[in-house]
Amino acid sequence: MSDTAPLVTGIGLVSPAGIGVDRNWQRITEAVPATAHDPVLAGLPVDISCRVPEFDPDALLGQHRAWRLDRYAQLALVAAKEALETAGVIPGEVDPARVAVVLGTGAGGTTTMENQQTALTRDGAGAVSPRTLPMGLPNMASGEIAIEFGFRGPVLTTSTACASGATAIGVARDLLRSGTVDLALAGGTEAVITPLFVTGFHRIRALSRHIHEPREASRPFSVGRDGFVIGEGAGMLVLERSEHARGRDAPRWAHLAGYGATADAHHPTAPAPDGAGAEAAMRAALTDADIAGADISHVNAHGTSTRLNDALEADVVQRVLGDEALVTSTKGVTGHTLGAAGALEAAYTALALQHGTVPPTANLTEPDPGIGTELATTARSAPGRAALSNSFGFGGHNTALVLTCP
Amino acid sequence: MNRIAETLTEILTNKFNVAAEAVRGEASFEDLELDSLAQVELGELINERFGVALTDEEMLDLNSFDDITALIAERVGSPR
Repeated sequence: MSDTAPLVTGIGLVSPAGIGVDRNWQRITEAVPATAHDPVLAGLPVDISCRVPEFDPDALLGQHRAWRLDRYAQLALVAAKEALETAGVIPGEVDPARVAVVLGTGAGGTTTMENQQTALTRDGAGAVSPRTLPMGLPNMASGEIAIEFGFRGPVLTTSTACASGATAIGVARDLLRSGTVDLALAGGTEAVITPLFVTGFHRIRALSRHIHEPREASRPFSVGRDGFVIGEGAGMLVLERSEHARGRDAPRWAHLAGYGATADAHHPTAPAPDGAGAEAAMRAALTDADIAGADISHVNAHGTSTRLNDALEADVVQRVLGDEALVTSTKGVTGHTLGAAGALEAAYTALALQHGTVPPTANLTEPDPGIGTELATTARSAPGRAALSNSFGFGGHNTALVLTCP
Repeated sequence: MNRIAETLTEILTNKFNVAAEAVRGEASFEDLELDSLAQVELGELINERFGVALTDEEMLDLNSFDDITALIAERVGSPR
C-alpha cells in the first residue's frame, strides 16, 4: 500500500438516507430502507422510489441560487459544500487554478428538459424557459460548482450511466496523480425520478415490481429480488495529493489507493455473462493499489437487487477475492441512485474503514442460496485496512475503487 | 408602493439577489445588475406571477423599474 496515494480529505452526502455524513452513516448502518410510494409516479406500473428526505433547496442554497438549478445540480451543490466544509477547505485559501471538479451524472438535467418539452408542445415556443439549457445540460452541475467556489482547474463531467460517480473519482485521481491539480472535488449526482425515466427502466424490466411492500423492494442478494428501486442523490469527495493535505494538516478519511476501469463491449444493458470485464476492473484496481485480494476486508458491491447483476457480481467477487470475501450492498437502504451511486458508495466505503464497521445489506433476511460469498446480513465489525467498491453501468462500463485506511 | 411594485421587488430580491435598497423607480437593469439572460428570466417570472406575457423584445426594450411596473399595469388592466 502506498502512502503517496491521494487522500480523501472531505465527504459530502445527500441521499435517500438523509442529508449530511452523520445522518447517512446512521441510516446506512441501521439498514433503514428509504423506499416509499411516490406521488410523482402515481398511476404508473411502478410507483415507488427512494427520494432525498426533506430536501429544501431554497433553505440550503438560497432562493436566488436554487431556482436557476435543476435538482441534479442542487443536490450536487449541497454535497459539494459539505465536502469542502468537512475537508476544512476555504475556497479563497487554495490556489483556484490547482483545483479540479469532476462530476458524474447519467442523465444531467433531464427533468428540466422533459418539463420544457411539455411546455413547448402544449403552449408553444414562448412558453419555453430561458433557463432550459443552463439548467438542463449535463455539464452544468460541475460548471455551477466551479462558479460557486471559484475553482478554475479542469472542470469535467463523466457519464458512464450507473458507474458515473465512480468514474469521476477515478478521473480526478488521475488528475491528482499526474500533478495537474492539488485538490479535486469529485463525485456523482442524479435526480431523474420522473415518469418518463421510471417508465423507461420499467420497459426494460430493470425495476422491482414489489410495490405492495415498498420497504422490501430493494433487496440485494436476497431470494425473491426482482429489480432495483430508482433513487436520487449526490455524493462528493474532496480528493487531495497527500503532500498538499499534509501541508495544511487536512483531515484524513481514507486513501484512494486504486482505480480500475474496463468495458464489457458486449451488450447495451446486460452484463457479459462471464463477468470478465468486471473481473478485470477489480483486478486492475487491486494492482493499482498494490495490495492482494486477501487484504480486502469488504466489498461495497454494485448490488442493485436485479437478478442478473447480483448473482454475477458475487461470482466475480468470489473469483477475485476468494470465498472469505465479505460483501455488502448499501442499495438496500438508498435504492439505486444511478450516476450518484458510485460516489455515495465510495464514501460509505471510506466511512466503513474509518469506523471499522461494515454496513449491513437491508432486507437480506434470506440470502440467495446460489450466492457463494459471505454476505453482511447485519453490521459487522471489520478491523481490515482496505476495501473495494464496485460500480457498473449500462453500456458495459465496469469501475472498481480501492480505498485504504490513512 | 402598489401591489405590482411590491411583487416585482420581491421577485428581484428573492430570485435575483438584488439588494432591496437598489430597487428604486428609476433603477435601470444595469443598476439592478440584470444581464440580458436575467431580463428574459424576469419576463418568465412576470408571466408566472401576473399572467402577463411580455415578449423578449419588450423586456429588453424596458429601461427602468417604473417602466416594467407600468407595462405590467397596462396589461393586467386596473392596478391598485
